Amino acid sequence: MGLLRIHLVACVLLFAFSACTATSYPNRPLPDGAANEEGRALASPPGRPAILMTFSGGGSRAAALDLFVLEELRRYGDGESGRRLIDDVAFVSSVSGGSVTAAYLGLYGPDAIDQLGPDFLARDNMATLELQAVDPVTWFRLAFGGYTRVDALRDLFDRQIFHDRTFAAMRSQPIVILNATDMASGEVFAFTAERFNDICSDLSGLPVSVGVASSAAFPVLLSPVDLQNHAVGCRGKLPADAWIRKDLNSRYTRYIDVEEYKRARYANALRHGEGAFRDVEYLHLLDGGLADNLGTHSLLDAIESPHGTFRLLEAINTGKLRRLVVITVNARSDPMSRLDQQATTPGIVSMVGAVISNPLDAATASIASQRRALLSELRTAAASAPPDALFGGVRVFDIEIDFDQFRPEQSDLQRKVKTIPTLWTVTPEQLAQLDEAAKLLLRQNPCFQQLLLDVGASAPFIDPSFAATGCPQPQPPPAPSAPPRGRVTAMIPGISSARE
Amino acid sequence: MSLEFLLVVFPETAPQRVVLADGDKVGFTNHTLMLPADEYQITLEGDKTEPPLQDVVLTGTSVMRPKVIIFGPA
Repeated sequence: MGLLRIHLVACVLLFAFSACTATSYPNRPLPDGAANEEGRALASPPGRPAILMTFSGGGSRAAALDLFVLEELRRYGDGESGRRLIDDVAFVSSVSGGSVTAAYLGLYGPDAIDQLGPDFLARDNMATLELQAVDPVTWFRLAFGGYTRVDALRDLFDRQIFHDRTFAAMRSQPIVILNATDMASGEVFAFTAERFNDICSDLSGLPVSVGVASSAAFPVLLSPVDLQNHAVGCRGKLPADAWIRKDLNSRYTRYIDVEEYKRARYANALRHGEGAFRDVEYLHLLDGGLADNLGTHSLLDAIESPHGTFRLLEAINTGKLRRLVVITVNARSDPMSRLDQQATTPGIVSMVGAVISNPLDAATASIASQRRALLSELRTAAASAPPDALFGGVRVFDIEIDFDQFRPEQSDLQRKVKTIPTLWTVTPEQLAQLDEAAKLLLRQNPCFQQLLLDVGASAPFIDPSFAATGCPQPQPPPAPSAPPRGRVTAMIPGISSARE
Repeated sequence: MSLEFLLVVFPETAPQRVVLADGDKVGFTNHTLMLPADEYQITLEGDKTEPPLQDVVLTGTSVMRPKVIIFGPA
């Protein structure tokens, strides 16, 4: 109760002093003739899988679970070459607490991730934030210095882990995409070169802590991160907007791919393009979990969008990518609710909590089902592809890590990790529980076991029969000399396009 | 969104060409391709073709019954 009282006092002070603050914008316009260049490419060496990951929100609980999953990927690999699975992680899309680990991996690489433990996870970050909240210097900055509540979180990230590094310092692999939510539109706002070109703003000079704080700006408790849209009068050299114009003017796109149409409409609004449906002068970014608490949106974009930066589908279509691995790490908590035993009508606080968390969970479940459907389509297409298709035989591994996947005998650990609160502090005991959870959930996953078999890794927990049944894969494609399964009749103009 | 299938046929005697959907590379001629359902303007990289471009609406295909379009050298 004492701890709760301190939390409340800190919050009240922060709210009171931040009420009349002037707004500051951390983003700068693109310099004359410049554009944000995406120098990173989604690629994997021949014969190796491309591992794409998403990290959910959930404060330090999520950040820790993600870290322990990455450490497991570092433990296993190809016995012959010594290449580890973590070296095959090509892409990470993250939200909120997951963005802490994602950005740390993006800045420091797979061999330095352990340091996230002592630098951040093992510290009582909530106490640090509360001390800052009761500091009169903070009140002064809140009242007169353009300081906001989310800046306190951003400062914490910079002091402890990011040290004012900017997006220019991000490594080329893995590609890390931090996701926030545009408060006005509800759209996912990803910290990518493409999106920052839309608002004519320089991404490379932006501190990584701004991206992580935007991604983790939980509504009400924290203020949004404010960005200025510099598209009007832009002096940078923006890439062509041909795909936007084409999608907006297409007769069919709004009917057969409404998501693509909305993407084009949003990009056009940010660019102040012709016929823009909104007049976006400023962006106010909140927790990415509001739109998609798994970071799936940017993952789907990377896989299937033919106009996006990464275009994984092209690599699959051309036979360059033969193994696609998607690992979704979901640290969703599921604490016991007192409402289940409450006879009286719930009050305002309970309702506000429900209004925030229930739609968030529903939106996340919806987009997670889109991911499953896409990967299932890819798997089916690869398994039944005609001989001419270079995607025939592509192996797809959909690995979900979720606290709901514990086995009955692990219910005690399940209850413990599901009730770890969403804060920026976890106890050493909770860290140990999350470490154990990451190991169990990954090692028990049939697609992870199948992946280990595929890359020639050995581990005592692999059950080949369980892996084959739980994660079926297409048979290897027929040898080149094998007779074709069908023939194309449309080689002659005017003849039916159907296969026989 | 669903995945659709497209086969862009180009005479096999000519070199294999890169297929562009709205100007973006998506695969090769004479190999079935996967694309999200949408309307695309298909062109081929390299020398001129006949026709120069084709508009396709990709919906209702399957891996065994892709939309087939044909290009030839100009």
